[in-house]
Amino acid sequence: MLKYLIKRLLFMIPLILGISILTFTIIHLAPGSPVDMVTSMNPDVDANAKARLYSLYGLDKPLYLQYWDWLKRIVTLNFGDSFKDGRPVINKIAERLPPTLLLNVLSLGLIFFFALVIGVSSAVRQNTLYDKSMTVFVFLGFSIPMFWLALLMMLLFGIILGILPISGMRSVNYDMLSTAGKIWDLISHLILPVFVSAFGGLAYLSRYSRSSMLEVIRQDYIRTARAKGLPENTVIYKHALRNVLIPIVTLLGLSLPALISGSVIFETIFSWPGIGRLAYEAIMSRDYPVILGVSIIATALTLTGNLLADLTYAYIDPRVRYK
Amino acid sequence: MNSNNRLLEVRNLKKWFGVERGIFKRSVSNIKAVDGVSFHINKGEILGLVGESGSGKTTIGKMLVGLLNPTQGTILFKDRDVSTMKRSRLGLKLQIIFQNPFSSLNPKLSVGTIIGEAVRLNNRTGDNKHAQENVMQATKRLLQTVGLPGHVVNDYPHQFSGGQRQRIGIARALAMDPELIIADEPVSSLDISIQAQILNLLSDLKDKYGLSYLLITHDLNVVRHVCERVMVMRNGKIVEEGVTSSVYNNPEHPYTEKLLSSIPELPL
Repeated sequence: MLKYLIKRLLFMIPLILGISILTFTIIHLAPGSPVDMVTSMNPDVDANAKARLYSLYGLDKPLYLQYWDWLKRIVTLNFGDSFKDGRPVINKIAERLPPTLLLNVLSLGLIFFFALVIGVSSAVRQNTLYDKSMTVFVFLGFSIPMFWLALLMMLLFGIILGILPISGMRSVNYDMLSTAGKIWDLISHLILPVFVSAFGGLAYLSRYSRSSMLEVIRQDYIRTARAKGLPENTVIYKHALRNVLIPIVTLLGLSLPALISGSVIFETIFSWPGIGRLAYEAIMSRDYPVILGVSIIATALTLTGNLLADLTYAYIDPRVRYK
Repeated sequence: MNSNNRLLEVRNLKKWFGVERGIFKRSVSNIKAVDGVSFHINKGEILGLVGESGSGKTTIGKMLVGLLNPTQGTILFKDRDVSTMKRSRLGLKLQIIFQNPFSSLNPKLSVGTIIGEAVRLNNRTGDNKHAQENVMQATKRLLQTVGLPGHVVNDYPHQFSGGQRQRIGIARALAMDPELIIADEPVSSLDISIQAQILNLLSDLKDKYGLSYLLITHDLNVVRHVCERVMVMRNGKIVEEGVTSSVYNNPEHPYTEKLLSSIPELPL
């Protein structure tokens, strides 16, 4: 098992390298440089100043040397400083992490809870009106573009009804509020983004748990449980659910990276101060160190999530053993 | 035989499965899995039910323990109509052992849970500590009854062999204190040597607890060794019924004759 773990960890290195090379190349291929972003709107900047900026950022060197410099720093876990405001990249990411985590933990929790409830209850009532309307409901969430639904919700709850804030994480007067007021302020800002993202993500998991449940309740051991004369609820929630949960737990491991990497479009629409919006802002201002930092961390987390999912699988199911 | 000795009586039992077609689920025809079957089982008797695959044997078994509802007909258990009895009451006295011991035990529950659950249901005990201890003791005793060591309560089904799993299945059925056990192909997925062990166990248990069996099988050799009476089933109907030795020696129905002549014999 340990040998397997080490092998998997070592295998992550070339993957991260490859992805960093790709990201590096792509952002340098994109038109405009960080220097242009700072200078192009300022008529006072002359060619000399521009050249100085280029060499300050190290952008005058050949591309492979720039990559090499970045790589040398990254192995010591130094992500460099942002071109935009000179602050360390790692600090910028660290301060954007909690809002993203908060939002995604809540919405993932809701997704898992309601997906299981919907999946199991519609499997038990297969092909009934309830089952079919749940299918329509979750696919509605899946098919509606999230940005459009987000805008509609903002319009309804923020403007027409005026009961929820439209965007951001805190009100302007946040610092003046009492503790209870602060908590309520945060909750009211969370409702719309959490609801919209949970609604969109429901379909995948609920369909998965529905089909998984359908498969399990056809098993012989469920028939055995019924033959014992157990109440139907015990049969479903004790005997069947336990077997349904295994693939679901694996899926939970696979959705770990999404917890942290955040969603660019989503956080931008709701002006949520998270990782996704940080990446968006960094791309818009060609802030190379930040873009690379975010993508490297997201890559590492995705790979770790996959590894965790595999390990969980081996732990839950004694018949699976990795060599 | 007088009727007081009757444990189970089945009258004109039918199970039809509808075949539906089209968007309006129009019923186009019926598959008559069981088509008007009547028989009885006496106390302390082993009744064999033989027939080829698809003849409706298993459907009868499922209807007897209440896993399927009959389309028509009555099932009397100790002179009471089972359709008026509560499912859980019925389950207590009438248990079933399934064919495939590999798929009929929940892989995620320990042996102790699988059997203990039935013990608890049977005794209607609470969940307090004392009751839990009693359930555990009863579970271990049941395991020993079927020839497994009591300490396996914490093991999971995948750690056992096929024969051992079938023993667990039998212990599970015994946990309900049944009077009649429906054994649906109890040995057909086991090795020949293990088959004999399980059949011997079933017949020991019969003497010990005064059980009766309905033994559903396609294996005519098994029936000859174990059953006192036998019924031959074909296409949902019983074509012949009688004392095993006379059916085997003088089959009346041509189908029975055909079945018997198809028993493979080793040239010795």
